[in-house]
Amino acid sequence: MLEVRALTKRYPGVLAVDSVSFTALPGQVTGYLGPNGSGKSTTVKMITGLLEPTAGEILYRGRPIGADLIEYRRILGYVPEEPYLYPHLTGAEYLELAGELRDLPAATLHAKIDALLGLFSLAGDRHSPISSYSKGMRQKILISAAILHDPELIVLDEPFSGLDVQAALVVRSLIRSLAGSGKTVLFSSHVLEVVEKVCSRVVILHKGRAVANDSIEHLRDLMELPTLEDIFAQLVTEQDPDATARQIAETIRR
Amino acid sequence: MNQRRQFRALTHLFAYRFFDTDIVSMRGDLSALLSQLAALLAALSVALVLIVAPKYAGLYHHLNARQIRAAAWSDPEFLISTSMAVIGVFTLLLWDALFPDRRDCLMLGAMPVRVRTLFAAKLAALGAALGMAIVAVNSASGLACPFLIVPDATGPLSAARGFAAYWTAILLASLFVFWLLLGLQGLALHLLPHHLFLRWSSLIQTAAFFGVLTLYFLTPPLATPQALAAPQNRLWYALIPSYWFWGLFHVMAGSANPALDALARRALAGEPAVALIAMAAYALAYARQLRRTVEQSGIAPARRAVLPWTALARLFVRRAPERAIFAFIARTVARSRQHRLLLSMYIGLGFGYVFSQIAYVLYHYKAVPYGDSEGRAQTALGIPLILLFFVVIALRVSFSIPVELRANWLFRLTDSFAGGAYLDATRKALLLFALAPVTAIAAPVYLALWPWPRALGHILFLAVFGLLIIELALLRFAKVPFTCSYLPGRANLKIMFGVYWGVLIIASELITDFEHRALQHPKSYAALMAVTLTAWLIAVWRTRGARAEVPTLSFEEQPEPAVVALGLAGRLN
Repeated sequence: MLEVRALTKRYPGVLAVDSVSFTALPGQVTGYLGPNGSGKSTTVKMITGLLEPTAGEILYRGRPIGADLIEYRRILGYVPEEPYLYPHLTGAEYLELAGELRDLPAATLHAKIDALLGLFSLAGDRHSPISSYSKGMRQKILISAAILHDPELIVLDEPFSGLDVQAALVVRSLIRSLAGSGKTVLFSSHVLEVVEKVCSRVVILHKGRAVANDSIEHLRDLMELPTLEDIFAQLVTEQDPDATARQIAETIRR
Repeated sequence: MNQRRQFRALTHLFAYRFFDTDIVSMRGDLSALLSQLAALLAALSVALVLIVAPKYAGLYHHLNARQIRAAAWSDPEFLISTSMAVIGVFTLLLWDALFPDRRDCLMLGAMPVRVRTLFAAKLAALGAALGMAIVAVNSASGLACPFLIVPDATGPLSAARGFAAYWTAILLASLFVFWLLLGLQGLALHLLPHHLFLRWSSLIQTAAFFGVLTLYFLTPPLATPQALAAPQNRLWYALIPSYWFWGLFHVMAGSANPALDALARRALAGEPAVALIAMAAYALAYARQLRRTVEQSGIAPARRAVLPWTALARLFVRRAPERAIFAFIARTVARSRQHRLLLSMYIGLGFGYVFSQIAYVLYHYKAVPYGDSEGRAQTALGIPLILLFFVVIALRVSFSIPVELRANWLFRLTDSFAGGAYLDATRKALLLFALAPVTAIAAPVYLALWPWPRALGHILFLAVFGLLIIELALLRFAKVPFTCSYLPGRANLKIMFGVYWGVLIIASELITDFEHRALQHPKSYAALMAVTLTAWLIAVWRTRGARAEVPTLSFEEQPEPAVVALGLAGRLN
């Protein structure tokens, strides 16, 4: 179980995350939602140990993650928001790097790499440098690298970015399947339809604060709204989208 | 559409892109960078004056009139070939920016800009950069030297003629190298399929870099009236362009020597020929490159390449995280253009020194009797040492320059620190990419040249000393190579080149002197080896101690400042 307690991150002059608390349970997909700049990625970076919180605690299995960060990272799989990869490596070499850094046995690692590249339709491009990959191909490499070591805790930050329809369907099903096998999945995304379909519960963030933390069913009942999109709009949207669109159209006509 | 406005914007963009690399970081300030580069080249020009001028000013009292007159014959060749070498290196630094790349094509291709505007802007930016370089590198030498090196200058008129001759020869010689390299890339673009060009371009660049340095340092010293008269030298004069422009200078300055006249004619015929070929290849390749870059992906699928060091890594690097970092280092060194260029520059300097030493042995000792063979041996001893210094420093400096910094999260989230994997992998990379090749090249040469006990003694010392240098390079090294941000200026070439060069030359002279004496007495040799081994063991102990003190790996060169300025100063005005 991943437990986030009063997590806060303050940059000079900016409060990026303000006392956020939630729990992600094994066997469930926890959605983490919020508009741009709400602090989602900052929270995710703190959960992965890439950023130090200003205040608050992150516990995994009841222990602060900082107590043994190396051990915590061994059971962590992470797909970052942006597909930052080493462009001079090939897809296969990148996965080899990720697997060896995680100390996977060579035979297992290479078998897994072959299989994952094949399943993600990247076998033909395995020896091409990542610099020549499309955004979707890079995303597939990131997802493969995140699950290569069969992690217990999986943190996905916008994993559908750039994926084609077929791959997106595969990944959606994969997320459910990973949770079904008892893993803890934290899923941060803007794609509300997908979140609604795969997540058991959601945390909605607005201006660094958690404004909702509940199961989707319960939120629907509580707010008497039919979809997650409506709930999201009610909780965090400050502008009328139609009015904003009209203003943009008027601006470019000037 | 205002094409002039587009032209101005694009010229500025292209000029910026010439220098937009981490090696010569500019922090977005083009004029500041150009000023720094110009200052660097001007400093070189001042150094040239300091090399050439003192003998004419009578500072060398032991030189007689005949020697000074001979110097006036040969010094123009030195100045011309130096300018050619500098402009050659400068052009090779701009290599990747000579033609539009994928980013240019994708971003500018969608804009309402004509190809001819793009082409003109690129040419203007190139011309500005090249002009700045030629003027800067000759700024001091071009003002002082023409009045010193013109033989038989009798008055203001002949001095003015010498000045014009000097600048014409320098300008044409510098442009000749530029055209040659531009044409080389243009022809490669035409002759090679696009995916092969992408793969081989940096190899051609590196080869040309070493070609320029080799030609500069190993050109035989033939700028004398006696050499000019010798029939056996005709081939050298025909092949080496710096002699053509040297001939042109003397003819323009008033010499009536028919041999010089022939060289001048070669310069005047060669210049337009190479310029024409280069311009044609460039203009044709430009439009073609725009289309091909957009049509094709960056690099076509390749076969799996099993490089020798990958096999070596599997042999010598057992732990998986260590092997991962070792392979990452090897692949980055082999594939990152930016790092390869940096390595080429440092190693090229090392080779430059080595070549100058070889040339010294070849040309200086040729007429010296056998009694000076010990001097020759001492010179030869220093060659692999200095090369090793430069290769280790080149790798160590390149390790501090990141490759795709934002991708380092992978190392931050995994076990690269555990058990010192980063340090062991880096040490093994230095051993395999620096010490092993230098020793492997040096060993057969010394075994062929010297009696085997002496050769073996030197090779053993080189190996142990190499271990010591590597360990010293790893002191306070708490990062995975290529993954840590760096502060522009920390690996600043204009400072580091000079510092390293000076320290290394002095250190190598001292060490070579010690070794040379030690090799003649077994006891002294044993003492030298014992001292070096002890120093190495102390360095290993210090490196391990330093590792234990480091809580975690460094991925940021500079911690966040305690006080952050709001940057409002400019906005309040």
